[in-house]
This record gives sequence, C-alpha cells and structure tokens, in this order.
Amino acid sequence: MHGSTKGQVQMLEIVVVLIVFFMLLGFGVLFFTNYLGHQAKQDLSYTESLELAERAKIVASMPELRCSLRGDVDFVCLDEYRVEAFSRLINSTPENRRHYAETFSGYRVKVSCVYPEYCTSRINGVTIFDYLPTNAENSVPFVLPVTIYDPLTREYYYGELELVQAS
Amino acid sequence: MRAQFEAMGLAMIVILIALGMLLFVLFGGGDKGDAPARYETRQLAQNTVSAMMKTSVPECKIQYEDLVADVALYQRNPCQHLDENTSIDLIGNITLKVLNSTLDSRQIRYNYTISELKQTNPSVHGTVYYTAGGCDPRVENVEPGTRIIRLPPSSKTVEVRLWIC
Repeated sequence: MHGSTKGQVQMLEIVVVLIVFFMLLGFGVLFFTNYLGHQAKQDLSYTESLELAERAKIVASMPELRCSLRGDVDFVCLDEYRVEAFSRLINSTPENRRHYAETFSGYRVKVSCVYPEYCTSRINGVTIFDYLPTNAENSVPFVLPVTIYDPLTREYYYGELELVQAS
Repeated sequence: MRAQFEAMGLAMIVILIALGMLLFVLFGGGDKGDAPARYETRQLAQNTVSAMMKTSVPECKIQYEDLVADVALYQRNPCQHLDENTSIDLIGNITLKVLNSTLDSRQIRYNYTISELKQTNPSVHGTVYYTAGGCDPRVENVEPGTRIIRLPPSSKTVEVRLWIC
C-alpha cells in the first residue's frame, strides 16, 4: 500500500512536469510562428518595392520610350513624342496590349511632367501601361524622377515616372 | 529522485529548444534591415539630382547644370529677359518649384546643397552657394544623390548633393 502511494506521487510529478513542458513548448511555438508571420509580411513588402524599382528601370530603358541623341543613350530620359505615341498605340489594338502584358502584368505606369509649368499641361499623368486588375488593392506608388526631352525645341523637362503594383 | 531527473531532462529540452529559436531569430531569421528602403531612397536621390541637372531653364537655351557653373564662376544673370537678378536667384526659383511639387508634396524630408569642393582636400567643402530643405544629414541616417561638376579652365569643382532623410 505504501509503495503504491509513492508510485502515485511520482506519477503525479511526471504529469505536472509534462504539463509544464508542453505549456512552455506551446508558448514557444506560438511566439515563433507569430515572429515568422511578421517576417514573411516584411519580406513581401520589400520584394514588392524592389520589383517596382526594377520595373521602373525597365520602362526608363525601353527603346520605345527613352530619348537618344546622336546614339547617346540616357537611361533617365524619356522622349515626349515617343511617350505620347506609345500611350496611344498600346491601347489601339488588343495585340499591342498583349505584347507587353507578360512583362507588365499587374502594373500601372504613368508619366507626368513637373517643371516647367507649360510642360505640366502637356504631359500630365499620361498612362503608358495599365495592366492593373479591376478592384485590386494597389501598392504604394514608386516614383522615379526622369527628364522628358522635347526633340522639337530640344528642351529637357523635369518629370516623374510613377509605378503602381497590384498587391 | 527519478522524477526529479526526468524533470531536469525535460527542462533541458525546453531550454535547448528556446535557445535554438533564439539563435534562429538572431542570426538565421534573415533580418534584412532597411536595405531595400535605402536602395529606393538612394535611387530617388540620385535620379532627382540627375534629372534636375539636365532640366532646361524655360525660354533660355541653357540647362540647370549651366546655371550651377555660372553660380560658381560669375554669379551673373545668364537669362537677361527673366526677372531673377542672378543665377543663384534663378537656381533658387527652379529648385524650390521642383522640390515643392515632388519631395515636399510627399512629405519627404531632404537637404539640398550646392557647394564648392576644395582642390586640396575634395572631402572638405568650401563655399556653400545654395541650400534648401530641413533635415540635418550629419545627425540623421540619410542617403545622398550626388553630381560633381568640374569647371575647366578654372580649377573649381562644384558638388550638388541631395540627402533624403
């Protein structure tokens, strides 16, 4: 009888220890999964912003849009007339739209002139690509400052390329 | 006695698991810091300076970069028909218009400076010709965009720098 009571106490001790062990393990796992979730969200936001920066550079270097003067290529310069012609052409036929869909699917790209004043009325939010799905939540816009070149007057204007990604 | 050993064993396991998680969080979790944000900011600063240097002064067949050179060399009025008295006034006018409609409108703090670089020690700045913006790059964690303009035949070198805070 005495041995059985001792055994029961030992068994109780083991059960208590196991309960404490699993409680600690549970708290640890809970904390760790929360941390991993937060980390994953942060990584996703970083990836999105880097992707936007990468797309902005692709747009700025497209021969269809960038300005070239005597073969000299400037990667932060867009040709005003190429931008206008391109924005008209891209939406003129479904084939034209499909041509760029693979690279810019889920993105919207706009060009605006900032300075001087007379340029802002000519190029004010000209949409180059708009492949954003309807009713999609958009990311924070990524803005890349560029120069906009007018080949007729040979003037350079200060402008911005704005990219938005569907998140 | 046996149960006490078991308890100690389990405590050791818990401690080892906690230690493993802690090490993962500290070293293996892939905390990338603010590297992507810094990359974005540097892009913004560098492209702002590059685009600004090329911008033409309206109704005057010169570019902003020519104005910067004029500020360092002569400080005259290169566009006689415009109201501004000197190239510094003209630079101030254009810079504020551009930065007000871009960085200021997005509540991005910055410091924009046009200054002379000393020939004897290029890391030391000489005369500051123009400055705009509120943040102090010496105390804040900032990313600069820079353009260095040499002005031959004079020995002067001018640095245009935009810090994004």
